[in-house]
Amino acid sequence: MIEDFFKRQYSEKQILEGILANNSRVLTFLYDKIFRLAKSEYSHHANFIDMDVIVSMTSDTLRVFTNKVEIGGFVENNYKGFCRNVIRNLLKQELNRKKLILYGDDDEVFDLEDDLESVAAAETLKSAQWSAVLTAFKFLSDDCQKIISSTVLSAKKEALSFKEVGEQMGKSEGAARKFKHDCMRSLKQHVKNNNINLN
Amino acid sequence: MMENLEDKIERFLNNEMDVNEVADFKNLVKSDYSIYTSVVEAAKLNKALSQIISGNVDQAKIEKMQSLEKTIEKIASEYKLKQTKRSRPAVKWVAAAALAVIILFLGKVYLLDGSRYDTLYSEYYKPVNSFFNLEPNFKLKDTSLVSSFMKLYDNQNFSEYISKYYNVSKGAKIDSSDQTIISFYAGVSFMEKGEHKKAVGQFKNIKKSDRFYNESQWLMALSCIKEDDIKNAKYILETIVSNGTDYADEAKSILNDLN
Repeated sequence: MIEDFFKRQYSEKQILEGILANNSRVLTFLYDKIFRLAKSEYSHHANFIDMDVIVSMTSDTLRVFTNKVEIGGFVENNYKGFCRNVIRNLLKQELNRKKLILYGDDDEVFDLEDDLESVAAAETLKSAQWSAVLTAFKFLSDDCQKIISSTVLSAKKEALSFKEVGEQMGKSEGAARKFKHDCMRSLKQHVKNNNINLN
Repeated sequence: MMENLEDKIERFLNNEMDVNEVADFKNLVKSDYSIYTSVVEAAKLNKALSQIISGNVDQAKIEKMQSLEKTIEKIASEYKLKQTKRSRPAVKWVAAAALAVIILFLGKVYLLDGSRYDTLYSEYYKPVNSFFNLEPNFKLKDTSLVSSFMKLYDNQNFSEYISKYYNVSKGAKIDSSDQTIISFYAGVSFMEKGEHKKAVGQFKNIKKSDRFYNESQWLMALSCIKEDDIKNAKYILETIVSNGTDYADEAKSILNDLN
């Protein structure tokens, strides 16, 4: 009863609609929910509570979730479960980075692939970073866009091998590989020129 | 020819390295934190490109993300401020203890209690749900007087709510159940504006047989705490506990904090 009365309760459908409408009440409600999740997860891993870290983790998680909804990639019907996973991945990254700095050489402590999985799962890019990548991509030549599109795995298609792309573009496998690397370098340079760091 | 780092990172991320190369590459990453950040950056770039190439992310979506980010930043800064206010007594407990001794010595105990009561209030006060959310079907009666008040409340226009409330109160007769809802949310609006004495006056008008009586009692106790009127707050809280309403546990807990 108290819960219903004093905390605005929203169904998952209302939450998703609220995000798409940028409804500050829904977002405040979500922020509070995520803050509690973050605090609880953080307290399992740390000996003391660092409010700054929890607030920042909460903002990142909410941003990841709202971006996911905006992109149309949120297909689950358990937003709390999704947010809990994001928090765990962010926490994992935070702890992994500390471990890497402290115990870099110890294989038992740091697993790069595992860490990168958590980076990919968290999808923490900010709008400025998305914008920089999109602008840089559009800035590339048609051939560069084509080779990157063909070789990067996307949600809608498998990536082609350099041999296959090379055949399509009339290049050898090695030349196709080098061409893509040059395109990626140009893309990264363009992102950097906009003073955007993806980390 | 020596392979450059970017190419190595790309081959690692594309799973194009054999087992030995992967092991060497991992050692390289572990030996230099800046290489690790480059790998993470490249992984993020690939992920972003994959979404852009799929057509899931375009300029319009990025603009919406940007506006959501602004809202989140605003909420976060307000939240942080709230958390700081809550944790301030713990962080500065030594200074607070010293201050307490001085204040006790000077016989001005109420100054310390005031900040303690503010903290208690912040810990227990939760924004009250809109009537629209409590009774979603009510929104259908869009032309009703309650609806017009709730729209103001939903938009957090508490000042407008109160001035409308004063105007309406002076005017025509209002259905008594509507009156209860409007009065109750006027009390909450006063609380949201920090006018707790007026909120107490508002909640006092909610009778035992009225809807929101239990909620009014609870909020009245919180408003009394905020006003440092601890004697009345305790009296209301003890009544809540003895009546065993839904707020009894919270009331017990806050009484423990007050004693």
